[in-house]
Amino acid sequence: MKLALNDVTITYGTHAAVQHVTMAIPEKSFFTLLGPSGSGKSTIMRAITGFNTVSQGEVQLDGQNITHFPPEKRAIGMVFQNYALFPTMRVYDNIAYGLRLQKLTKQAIDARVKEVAEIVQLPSDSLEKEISALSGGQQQRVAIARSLAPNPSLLLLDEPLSNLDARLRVALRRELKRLQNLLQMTIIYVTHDQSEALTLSDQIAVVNEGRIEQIGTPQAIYQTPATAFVANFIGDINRLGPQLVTNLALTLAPQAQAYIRPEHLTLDSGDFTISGVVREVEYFGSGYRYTLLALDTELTLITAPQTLYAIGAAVTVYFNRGDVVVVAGDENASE
Amino acid sequence: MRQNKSFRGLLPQIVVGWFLVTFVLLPNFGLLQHVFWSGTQITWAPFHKIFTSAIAMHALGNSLILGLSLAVTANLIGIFMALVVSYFDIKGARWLQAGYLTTIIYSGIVVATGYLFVYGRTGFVTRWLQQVWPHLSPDWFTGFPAVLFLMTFAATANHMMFLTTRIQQLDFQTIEAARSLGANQWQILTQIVLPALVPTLTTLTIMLFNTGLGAMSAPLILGGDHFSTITPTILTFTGNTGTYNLAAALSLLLGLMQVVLLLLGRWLDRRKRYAFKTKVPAPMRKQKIHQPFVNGLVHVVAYLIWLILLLPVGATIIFSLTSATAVATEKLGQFTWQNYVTILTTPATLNPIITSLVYATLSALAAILIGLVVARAVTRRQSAGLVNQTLAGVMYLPWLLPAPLIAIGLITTFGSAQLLVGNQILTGGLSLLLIGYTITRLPFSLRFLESLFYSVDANTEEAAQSMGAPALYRFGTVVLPQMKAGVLAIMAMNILAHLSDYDLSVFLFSPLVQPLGVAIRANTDPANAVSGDGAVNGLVANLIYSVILMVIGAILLLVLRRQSHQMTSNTF
Repeated sequence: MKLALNDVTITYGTHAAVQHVTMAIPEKSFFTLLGPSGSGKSTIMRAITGFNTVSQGEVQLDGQNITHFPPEKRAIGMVFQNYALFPTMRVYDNIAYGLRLQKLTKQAIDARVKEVAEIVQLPSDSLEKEISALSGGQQQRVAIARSLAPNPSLLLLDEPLSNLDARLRVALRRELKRLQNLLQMTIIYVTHDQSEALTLSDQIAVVNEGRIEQIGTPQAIYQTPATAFVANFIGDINRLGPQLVTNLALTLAPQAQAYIRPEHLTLDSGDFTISGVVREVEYFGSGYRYTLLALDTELTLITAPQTLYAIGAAVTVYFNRGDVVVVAGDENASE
Repeated sequence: MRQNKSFRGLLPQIVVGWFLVTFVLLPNFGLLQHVFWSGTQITWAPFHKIFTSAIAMHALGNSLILGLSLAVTANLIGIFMALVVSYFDIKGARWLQAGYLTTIIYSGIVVATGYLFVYGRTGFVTRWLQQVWPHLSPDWFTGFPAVLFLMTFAATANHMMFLTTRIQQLDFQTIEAARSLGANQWQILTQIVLPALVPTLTTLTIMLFNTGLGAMSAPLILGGDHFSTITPTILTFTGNTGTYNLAAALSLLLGLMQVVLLLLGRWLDRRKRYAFKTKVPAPMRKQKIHQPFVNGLVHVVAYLIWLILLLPVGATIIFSLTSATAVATEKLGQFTWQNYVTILTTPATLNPIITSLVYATLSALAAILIGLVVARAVTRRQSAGLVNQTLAGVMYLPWLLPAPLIAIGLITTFGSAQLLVGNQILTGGLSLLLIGYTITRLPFSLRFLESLFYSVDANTEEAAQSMGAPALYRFGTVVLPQMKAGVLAIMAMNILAHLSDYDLSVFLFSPLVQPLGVAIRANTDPANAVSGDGAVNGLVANLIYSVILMVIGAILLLVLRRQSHQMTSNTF
């Protein structure tokens, strides 16, 4: 199913929570809405499900305008941040809920419940359990199974991993990717976690202050950020100061900024060198993170654990000019 | 020196222990002895008499019918009110809520007299109905339907408060999840929202059944000749020495039924199938009713209930400001403050107000003092110890006992000289009502004081101790100030509970001082209003008493609200 948002604006009173959002979500893709808290990503997602009223523009599903369809008529599956499992029902009844509303036969419901339970790898003995008897990870599987059971046209996941601990989050991230490969359905995923977005997505839309900053593949978003906000929000990045920019012989348009990722800075080779002084050293297990001052620029540099410089040591930093990214826009606005 | 110190430290517990043994345990043993001991052997005679007494069995049957009916009607109305106030998007919901909550300050015997005033023989609703149906009996509002009607609407404020709180705790995302799966409004209400309320409704149903079972004011005032329940029958039986044993046995039977119900409630609570709660639930949002007809119907019923609840309150306030003749005929005349001036300047009519205020305040204070001693002992150490646990257990006992059982136990036990009270006879004196009021507030006070003690940061007291502050000093300067708001709130609730009490007062009051509840009942009793003037004055007094009680109740609720706000802001 293809989903498209055309010039969607959502206002609450005089406040525009989402402004002129246009995007097309390709069929069978894993599409992520990424942005900080309060950026409007959940508002966009709730407009897709029908829980938020669109003030202007339209939402299309496979070419059909569904902007004014109530949520129960959209056939869009949704996994909520808190899972929103029905506490009064057992696991089985939670998963069967949407199927019963479709008035399927008992046998059909039973077969489908077991099928989706297997898809999400929920142990069969847990179907009879109360929701309170499940672990966080199992509750998440039930929430996904419940939303998948009625065969939705697309699946929306609203920060479904945010309530889990770090280890489980990584495990379930892989699980979500496996599910998407298995089911070959369109998934729209909402998160503020850039690593989740980068590892899971086919495409990412970066949302800021109710607007889409950039839509693209994870590689494109990371390597060629379109705005200062995207550059700063996704991963670590060094903003080059005016003196360093001049040294590089770069000519920037007004308000444009030049950036370079820490992994593009080395201590051994590159077509450009610059001297710096070590200001801070942090050990993080697999290496060291140095903060250097080079001319007017504070640079972050990652090295292997064998390399150790003391604070105050003078070092020469190398990088390739081609790794410098220039983006338009005022960085202050994005910080 | 050390021994002196430890004795001084134990003195409050010793005094509390004496109070609890003397006034909570002894009366119950005394009552059991009175009923089951003939002087030489165990006897079942009083129970045999009850089961062969047509009056007692009739009352018992009526109580059961009332309890069951009330559980159905108050649940239906209460659920509807809670949905209107907190689930559906209803125009003027705040006004509706304010109206629905009036029975919190307009309760007990006051509400019964208010309904009698509106729907009774001379009530304006009765007169209006007689214009439509001329053959309607002026006593149409009596018997079981009237009692059930009154109790249903009187019980719904508490019911609604509990349900409203529960609805507001629901995770709104579960409702959205159901919608996204295709559920319509009715399906969401019946399959998601109402099932989530089941544990609360179970507890409320038991409470309602219990309320119906032990009903006193409503059947007494509106029951008429043919509808009497257990508690008024106990009252009748206590008036005669020949049937006193029956009253005692009947109160034991009532107590037993209520204990069984409360234990059933606890058992159901423990069996609660779903303790699952979302860590951070999405806040509830009100639901618009999509079908215009249903929406209109819900609005009409919501405002009709509002009107039913406010009619007696409004009539009471308005007619309290008119002349005695206007009150008698229920036709509005000129407004005047004269009735208030007369009531508040005539000792005979002012005394019940003062009596009730004094008794309610003193008993509230006593219950808090006893509660503070036990709650501190129970909560300050990791292990409370057997003695303190026992004291706490005894303090919770009155929660299981109906008012008549407590009252008759006290009357029976202290009708003869008892060593534990210096061989004094307390029955008929001034102290027994104070003791009765105190006992009935012990469980509530202890429960909330325990919570308050747990909410105080133990490190603050330890800090004071490390600086050398002695126990009583650090309690007074460090612990108590942190609990002040909560203690005042408990005080307000305790006073409110007994201001217009009738159920306990009617058994325990001394003829020397008449509390307000008893005075109000006396004013509504046809037996006390044979002369035309007397009846009018009684009616006027009742209206003014009701208004005064409402004002005091509203002030206490405001105190309560302020203290709760303060507690919340202190917490954060």
